[in-house]
Amino acid sequence: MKVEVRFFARCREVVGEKVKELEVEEGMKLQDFIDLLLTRYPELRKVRLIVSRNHNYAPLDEELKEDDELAVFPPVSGG
Amino acid sequence: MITNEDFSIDELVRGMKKPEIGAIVTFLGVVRADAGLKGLNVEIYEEMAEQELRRLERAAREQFEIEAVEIVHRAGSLKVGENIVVILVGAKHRKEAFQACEYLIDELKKRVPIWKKELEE
Repeated sequence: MKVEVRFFARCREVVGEKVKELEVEEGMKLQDFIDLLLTRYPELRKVRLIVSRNHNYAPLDEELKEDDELAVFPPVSGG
Repeated sequence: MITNEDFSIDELVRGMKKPEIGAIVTFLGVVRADAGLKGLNVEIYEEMAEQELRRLERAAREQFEIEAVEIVHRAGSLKVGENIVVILVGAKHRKEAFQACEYLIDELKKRVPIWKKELEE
């Protein structure tokens, strides 16, 4: 199934991409997805990662669905 | 609310005033002139940020006896001295307004997907 991945701040700079469509296995969990990201983009290992799902913070055992929007970003620093 | 434009605190205060409000506390975040800093670039994951801001407001209303909340955060590149974020809280009494305002800015800094990047000289 396909999911959309958006990269922000330091993660976007390290990966060099803003948005990417990825093909992943059905029923993949968020933790598996993060492992996939780290293998595909090893440079992400040096950034403290947060991955949100469909605009929400999600538990690592949450299951992904077709057309999910995942976002990959470093700790937030707004305000 | 997320915006690239600057905002007017006077307008926001005027828009907030209601007969039952006896206290309005305002927090304004401004670009500070740290050593060698020319300005800041503020990046925001807008869809998620808007949702987190709504969630923050709901949480504040549940925890504190308040009447109104306004939050505006700017995106884009900002020079030293420019406004970054404003939070206004209206309540019957000052204590809740102060507490809720501090809660909101503290939680915003922890949860809302916004990133500030220093722009050096």
